[in-house]
Amino acid sequence: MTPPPPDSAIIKLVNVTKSYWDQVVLRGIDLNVAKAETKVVIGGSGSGKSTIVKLILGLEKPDSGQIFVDGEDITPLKEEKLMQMRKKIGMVFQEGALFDSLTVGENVAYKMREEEIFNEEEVEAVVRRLLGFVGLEPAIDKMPAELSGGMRRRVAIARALVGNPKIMLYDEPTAGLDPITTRTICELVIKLRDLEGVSSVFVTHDLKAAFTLASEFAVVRPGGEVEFLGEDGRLCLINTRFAMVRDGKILFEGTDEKLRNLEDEYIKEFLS
Amino acid sequence: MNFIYRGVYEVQQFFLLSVRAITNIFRGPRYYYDTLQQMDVIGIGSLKVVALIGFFTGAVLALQSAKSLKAFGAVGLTGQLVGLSLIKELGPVLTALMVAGRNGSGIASELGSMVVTEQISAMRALGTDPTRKLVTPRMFAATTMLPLLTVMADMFGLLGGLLVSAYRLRLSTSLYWSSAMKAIEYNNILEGMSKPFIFGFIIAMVGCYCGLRTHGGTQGVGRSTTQAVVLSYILVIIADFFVSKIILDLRY
Repeated sequence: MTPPPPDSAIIKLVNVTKSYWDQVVLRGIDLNVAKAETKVVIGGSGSGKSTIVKLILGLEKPDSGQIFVDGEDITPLKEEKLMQMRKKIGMVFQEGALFDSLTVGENVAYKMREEEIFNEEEVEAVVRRLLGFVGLEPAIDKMPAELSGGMRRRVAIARALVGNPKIMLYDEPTAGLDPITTRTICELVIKLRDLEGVSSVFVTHDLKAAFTLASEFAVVRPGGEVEFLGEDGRLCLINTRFAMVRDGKILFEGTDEKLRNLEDEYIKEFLS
Repeated sequence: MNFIYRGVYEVQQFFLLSVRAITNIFRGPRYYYDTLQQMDVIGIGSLKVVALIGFFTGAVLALQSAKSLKAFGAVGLTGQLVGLSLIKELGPVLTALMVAGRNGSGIASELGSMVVTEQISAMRALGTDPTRKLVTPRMFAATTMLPLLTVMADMFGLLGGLLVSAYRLRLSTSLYWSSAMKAIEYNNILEGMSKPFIFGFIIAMVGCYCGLRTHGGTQGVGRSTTQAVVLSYILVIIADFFVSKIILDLRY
């Protein structure tokens, strides 16, 4: 039996394997995400990195190994218990995965309306606050089909933030976006990490976004304004670490500085 | 071997989904609004087209059977023949096939699109069980609406037969009607009304199952939709045989 994880790890994967029929996706993954840490999971297409977040959220079950979320082993849990566990987690899917029969506001309000413990004014207030956070309050009555790809991703972030989850999972939130929109998404992730202390797993193959997350941080100026600062050589952000996945295995885990200095052929080629 | 294993697995998953869809009715949370919406889509939405096919089925039955009955000098029995064939077989089956083509495919493609755009995963991530919000309302709507649609088809079919008998065969409408009504017994109604319950269940569950197991992007959605229609047609026709057999056996 594996001992329970130390207190600092909010997400812990222990020797997790997963396969779909005869296709092996993960062959023994060990991964730790500390409290208030952002783990950037990078890797090529089909390396199994998206599967990792689906396993953490309990959408799929691993074939073997254990997954701890907030100190609790979620692998033996039934769907009903998993529903409870998922309340701690916000997930941003690829392409946003907004419900296209609902408006933007209804999408964000979905979780609160499902729980049926809030009145309409509370729901409205939260929806407006969260859409304001991602800068999309004017779009509240639009349908998802009317939005651009970047806006959909931002609505998805707002939807995931309902209930102030301690953990956020991002599945390729910047895939296919232009550099400016990518930057906006990254700033949202940095703000959540540095100002709200949210732990997160950020799955991506967009290296530019990955390095933005690892080299910038957010501070609040006395006027309440949020400013983004770079590492500028003296500092080294330790709340963002990389994990590189290849063929269902973790190839490297550590800070971005270490990743850049590695001598591994595959990693060099991936980064270039 | 893998092929057999996979086949057994699919059947098992289909039954598990069906059992969950049924047990969800007895335990909340229930989604009344979604259920009503589906009843509207399946029931009201199919009403016109079901009435139309019912009408022409009855009409053509009268036309064809009158020709054969004439040989025995029994044109007066047209009403009986039209009524019985409609209520026992053609009403339930043709309505089911119509709804399978219209709504079964719709269900499969809607759920399939939701799978490939990860909306189903998002739903689960937000704390909703998709079998409760999506499958049970569709199953409930189809099983309740199909019998009502079948009644509509039967009625319009009898009307179609009546019009053909009156204007083409020059039969008196009262003769047509009384021969139809005399022939229809309690048993026939039982048969005609129990079939659509089963067919409705098959159509909704096959649609949901094919939709939810979609994989492989938009191409996969097309594949699931085709599979759903083909599979529900086959299952409806096979189920029709067995239900008829069971009810005929009950009689004797």
